[in-house]
Amino acid sequence: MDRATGWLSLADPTPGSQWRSNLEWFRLFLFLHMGARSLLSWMATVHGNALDAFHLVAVAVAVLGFVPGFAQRAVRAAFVIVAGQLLTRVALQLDTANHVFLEAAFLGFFALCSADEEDEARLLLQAMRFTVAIFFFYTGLQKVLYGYYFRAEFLTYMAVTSDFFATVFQWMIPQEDLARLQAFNGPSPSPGRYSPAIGAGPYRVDSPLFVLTANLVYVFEMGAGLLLLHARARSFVALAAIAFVFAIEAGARELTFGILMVNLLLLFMDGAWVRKLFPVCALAYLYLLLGENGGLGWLPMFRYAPA
Amino acid sequence: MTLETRRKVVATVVAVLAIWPACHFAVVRAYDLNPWNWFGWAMYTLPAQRVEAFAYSPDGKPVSPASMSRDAYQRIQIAYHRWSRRMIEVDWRGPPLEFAREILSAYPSWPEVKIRAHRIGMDRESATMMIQATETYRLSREDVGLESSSSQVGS
Repeated sequence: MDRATGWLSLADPTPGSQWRSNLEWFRLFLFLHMGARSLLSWMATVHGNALDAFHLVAVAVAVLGFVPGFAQRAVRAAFVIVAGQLLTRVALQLDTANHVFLEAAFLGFFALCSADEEDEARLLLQAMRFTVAIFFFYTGLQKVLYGYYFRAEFLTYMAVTSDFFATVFQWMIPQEDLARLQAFNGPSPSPGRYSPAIGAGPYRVDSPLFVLTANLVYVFEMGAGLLLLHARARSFVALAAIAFVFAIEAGARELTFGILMVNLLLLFMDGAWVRKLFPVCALAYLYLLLGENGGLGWLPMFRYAPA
Repeated sequence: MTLETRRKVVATVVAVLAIWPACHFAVVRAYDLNPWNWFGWAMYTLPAQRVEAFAYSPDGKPVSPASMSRDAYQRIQIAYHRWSRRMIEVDWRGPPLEFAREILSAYPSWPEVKIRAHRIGMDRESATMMIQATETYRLSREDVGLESSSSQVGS
């Protein structure tokens, strides 16, 4: 191992841990995730272009990934397909969801390194853990760079203009501040969202607890990004980060992103948690596919932001 | 591929993933892109921007749903939605060709359409919603690939 790549060992697995099981089940989870996300996207919007084909082929490849002996070949095809989905969206000038990029990156790592070979699997785990740590660190750093968290401006805006975020945060915001800012709200095409008028604001509230919470968000994210690479701290930090993802999802309701993040964080745990929670994830995706608001509409659905 | 080569490839990819978000901040600012996207992990950093646009005839008459068929108005709305998304995501200054074409199709007597677009977002200092940029377009029927209007024929 040379100096140029030695730093990857910071993300080495703990001896005696169930990391091989986690990797093998995470590969299955990626097929499940890609298939469900692509099917949801296809059901939500038929574009009449290359994206439709990419979505449907992704579903077929996801099914193939579950056939014993085909996983490694399927993962290479899946990488090409998800990369194709991303490039097509760029070409069509559509928005590109960050979680699809993460999905492509992880499929790429799986295509490059087999989870079935000990040495390659170790390298695979290192790559994935580093990527998750980088993700967490930058989500915090970007909040610092943009500067809308120091006085809770962004979270105030979200609490006032989104019913989901209001549910999470309104108890921390004085009623008079809430009423003052909600008075600026106008209609929005998205249900549960509001468009404030030009001149609305200032989106600052008199609540030290709320301001502290907003500042703790980026402190936690940057700290978690660093500590996820610390051998002794990583399990505990991963658990805290999973709780953090749940808190975010209470407001954001981007469930496919939330399920992906939780599974990524499970890669930092010593136990075989990806396998243990796989049935729960499968049921969650099945529910999204059968439910209202993006799925077949057979089951009642609480509101969430589709993939 | 040997394990050592794989290790080098993985290390390079991880390094790129670590460097890109730092560049993302500068690239987004330079090209007016949406910071929520483009893999810089800057989602939920600032309120999402939105576009408000106003379209007029050359003599200042606004587009009105009452003066056209429901289908025509829906086509205008779809074209507006696509254009405003594109403006926010990738191309703030890109001309609204499809939007203008649908408007001019709905108003055959207009030789051109004037569109003024505001990008609205939160000002960091004042924490208020402000117009952050304005673009104005004058697009003729020829510009959007339509034949000259009836009022212009022979003039």
